[in-house]
Amino acid sequence: MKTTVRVIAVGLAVAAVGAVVTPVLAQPREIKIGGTMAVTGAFAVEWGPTAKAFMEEWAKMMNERGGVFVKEANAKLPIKLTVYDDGSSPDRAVELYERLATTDKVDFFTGPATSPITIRASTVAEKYGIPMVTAEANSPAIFARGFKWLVGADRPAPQWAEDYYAMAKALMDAGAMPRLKTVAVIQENTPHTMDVGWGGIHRAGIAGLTVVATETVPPNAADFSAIIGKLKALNPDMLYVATWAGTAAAFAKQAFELGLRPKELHIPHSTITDKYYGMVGASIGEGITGTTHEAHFKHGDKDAYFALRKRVGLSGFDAGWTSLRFIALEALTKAIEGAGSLDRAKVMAALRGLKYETLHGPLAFSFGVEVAGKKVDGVGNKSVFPAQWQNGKIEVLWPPEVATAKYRPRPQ
Amino acid sequence: MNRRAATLTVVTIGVLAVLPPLLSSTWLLVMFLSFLWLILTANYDVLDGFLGHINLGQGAFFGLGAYVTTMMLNVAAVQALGGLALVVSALVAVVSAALFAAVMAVPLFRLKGLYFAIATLILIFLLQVFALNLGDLTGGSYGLYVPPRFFVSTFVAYYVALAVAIVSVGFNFYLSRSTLGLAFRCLKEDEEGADSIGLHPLRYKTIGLVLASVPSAAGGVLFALNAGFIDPTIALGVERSLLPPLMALLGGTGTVLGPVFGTAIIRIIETVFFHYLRLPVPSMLFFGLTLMAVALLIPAGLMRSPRVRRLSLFRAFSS
Amino acid sequence: MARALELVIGGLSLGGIYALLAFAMSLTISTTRVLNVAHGVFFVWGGATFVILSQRLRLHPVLAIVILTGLFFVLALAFERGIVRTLLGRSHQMLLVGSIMATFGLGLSMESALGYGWVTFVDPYPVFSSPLAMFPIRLGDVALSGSRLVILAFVVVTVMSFHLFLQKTFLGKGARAMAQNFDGFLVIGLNPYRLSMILFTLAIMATAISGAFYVLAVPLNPYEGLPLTLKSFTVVILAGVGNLPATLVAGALLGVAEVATSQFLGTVWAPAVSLAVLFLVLVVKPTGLFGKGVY
Repeated sequence: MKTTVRVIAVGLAVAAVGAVVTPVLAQPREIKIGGTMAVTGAFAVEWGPTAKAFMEEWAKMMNERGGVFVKEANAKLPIKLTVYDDGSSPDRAVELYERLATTDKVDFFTGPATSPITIRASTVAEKYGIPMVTAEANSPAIFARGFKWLVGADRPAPQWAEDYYAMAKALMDAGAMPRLKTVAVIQENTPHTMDVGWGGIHRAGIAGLTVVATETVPPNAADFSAIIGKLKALNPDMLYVATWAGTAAAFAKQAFELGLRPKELHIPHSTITDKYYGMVGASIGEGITGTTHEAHFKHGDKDAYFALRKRVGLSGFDAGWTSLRFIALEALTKAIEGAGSLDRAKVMAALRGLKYETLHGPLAFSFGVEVAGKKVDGVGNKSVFPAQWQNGKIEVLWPPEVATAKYRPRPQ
Repeated sequence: MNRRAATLTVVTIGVLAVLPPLLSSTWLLVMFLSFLWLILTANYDVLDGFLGHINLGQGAFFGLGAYVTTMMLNVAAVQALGGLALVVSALVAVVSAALFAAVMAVPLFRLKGLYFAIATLILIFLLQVFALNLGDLTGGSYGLYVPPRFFVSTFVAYYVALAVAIVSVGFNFYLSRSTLGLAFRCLKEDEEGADSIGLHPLRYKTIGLVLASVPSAAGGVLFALNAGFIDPTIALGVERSLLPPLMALLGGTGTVLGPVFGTAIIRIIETVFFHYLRLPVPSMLFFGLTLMAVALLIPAGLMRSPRVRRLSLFRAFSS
Repeated sequence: MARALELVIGGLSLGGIYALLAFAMSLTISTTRVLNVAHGVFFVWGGATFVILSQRLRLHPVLAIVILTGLFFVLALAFERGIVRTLLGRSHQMLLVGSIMATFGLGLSMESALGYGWVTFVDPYPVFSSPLAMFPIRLGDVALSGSRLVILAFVVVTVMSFHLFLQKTFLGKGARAMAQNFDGFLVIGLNPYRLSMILFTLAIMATAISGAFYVLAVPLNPYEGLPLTLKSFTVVILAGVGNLPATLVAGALLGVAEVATSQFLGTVWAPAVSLAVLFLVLVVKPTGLFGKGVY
């Protein structure tokens, strides 16, 4: 019996020692960047394996170019990117970021997919003082916590509405859009969609619109008959639908069938992806407007971006996150170059002061600004582009510089 | 329990107690989260293993613990208590979960088998809807933050969770030897018979559910204080209710050590797949297939399979 | 008045969707006592397969359904051979527990296989939705949703034919006998394995076709399967396990209750109402609203 006890005790001891980290740090020969991605699980619907592949291809491309010049090492250092699958679980994401920080000893973090996971994962960045650049996480709550090691490339979601309403106003003033007076906002009860909806409600004044109804629906709602009935009675000129793709498609279908036909149907999130038109068909899809991060870019490292997209087999409007991921990774390397060092504090300082020309124009992170009633730090200023489905094709409408077509009123 | 088993228990606990300074922070976190799973699994087994009820809502107590603490810590009056605030809010959280268990016991224990399982699962979803919709209290889908000064480090949380886990497993061990446990099993085998000899079924079942709710709620409190942020999917997610039964069944229900092994095995599989084997195809695919294979090959759970039962060491724990 | 009628019809057609989710599950639990947690995943796979066939390969919808049925026939055979058969001989409790675990594992793998496979081989956006059968209908002042009416019609016909199958045919009667006494069934010389194979292939094919109908109205994604199982289970329990016609009624009740809640309390409370109703029904009458309950 003693043998059994001994064997088990020794086994446990060995396991413990094996788990202990033995830190051996040499002169930096590579830049280690790490993060997790929702390769599986609920969020994999919008991100999934493609997002991971995109990031890995980006590292490969950077290394083909010889890497990133770091002054302290006086050499171009290659990038070693580690991306784990967090299975869309915040708990697992935190475990894996801890692992990246302590076992893999990465120098910098890229953000995971979506706001809830970023909220948890960013605490690891804060704890170890590792700069984290998030891509799609755009809930102001994330940036309102006074964190010092976090910046986000995306612009806070409530501001999406500002660009869209600004366009609407300009078009109405120019007579290119019929004069709209009322708007009804539908928002799905998840952080991102509520943020988008917040903008839809609170920024309607920009376009001179009156909000006549605000309806919140539960996540993944399938039936809207009651809401559609109410809205038909109110007959708003514009419907602003802040939901995820599946919910938006279910809503648009039912609204169409039950005869709710607003003059303008705006579904900001994920309608401007190649898939959407096929999901709802031409009779609904035609004329829908939405918001995209993608346009026929005229600025920044656009050739590299287009080449990269091609390498992972993505067309322009296949997925919503491509340009954001690119900008987040690019901003990090620009900051490393600027700092001339892999020192995390120096790179963070460089990120705070970063100003450069990216796909969307000049990029900089702002600190201490107010968004959706919260004081936020480290939010990006990239643009979003209002776009529209016209004849089964996505056309970017605004700003005029990247526009591919003029706004067309929805067929009634 | 013979000496051998006692020695082994003490050695295991001793090793777990000296481990943290040696562990990397990742492993510390993995172990801490595993202890939380173990607490839920052991608590789940009180009802399944000893009272014969499949409770698919064990996570409700976890979620309540997490939510009540966090909500309390966001109240200015509680914050003013300083260091005491943690103790007060943790106590209130655990007590409210126990009260919830006591109140829900009345309708729930009218039911048996599949119906009991479904009713408990409904509770989780109902709590989720309330957490989502009562935004002023719970933060809605945005979730709630724990004020940073109340954070509990993973190092401390590890020890508290270990203690709660030991209490949970210890309680199951107590049940396997005590008159209370005997009463439970009487009820499980023959409820009417037990009733006729004076074992009031509802009373004993309520005792079981309430006692099983307390450590789970404590686990939830710890989780919230360590994570610093909760939302309906994080604190009240279905997997917190569905994985513990799986872990218990895998290990073997009603066997004291079953939940321990079940939790360990699932957590090891999960960690190996997600941390080490970075397969080009999703880890979840293999995780699922492994679960399926286990269910088909070891029908009664590990600790009940004849081969394991033959080991005298384990027999010392089982009843 | 027209408004009230619209609401009721909205609720009924939502009920059709719920019944669509539930009836095949009710059938297999009641006869074989195997609780197939992967039910919702088969449903999603059905929707996804239909979208590939009808949208990607541009096949006629009817042809797509025929091919889909064939594919799921094969899948169902494998499922029955690999999982159900291993479980069937077990005791009551072990069968319940084993089937939950095995099919949960299978469900997880099927979900991620679909999610991964779709993104790798089809397109980077795994949301399954079909624009077919979308037409607005107006009866006087009342507006109706065409796709939902199609679903309602399909589910009524399917559920009633399964019901007749169980009541009138020799095999169906055998299935009901099996539900009552598995061992006795062996004694009288019928082969329960053959019957379970027939029941499961029928049920899984029906589930897959139902998934195809579902995406006409509501989009699906790969990770929705397990939540859908829970939803369908609600309907099964509400109706009483094994009571097929009652799944229609239970679905309709749930649907009307949810639409009414959306109207008067706000849509966010609709899920709470159906859950509360189910909880009350369970506590007051555990065998379901209409069931004598075989479970």
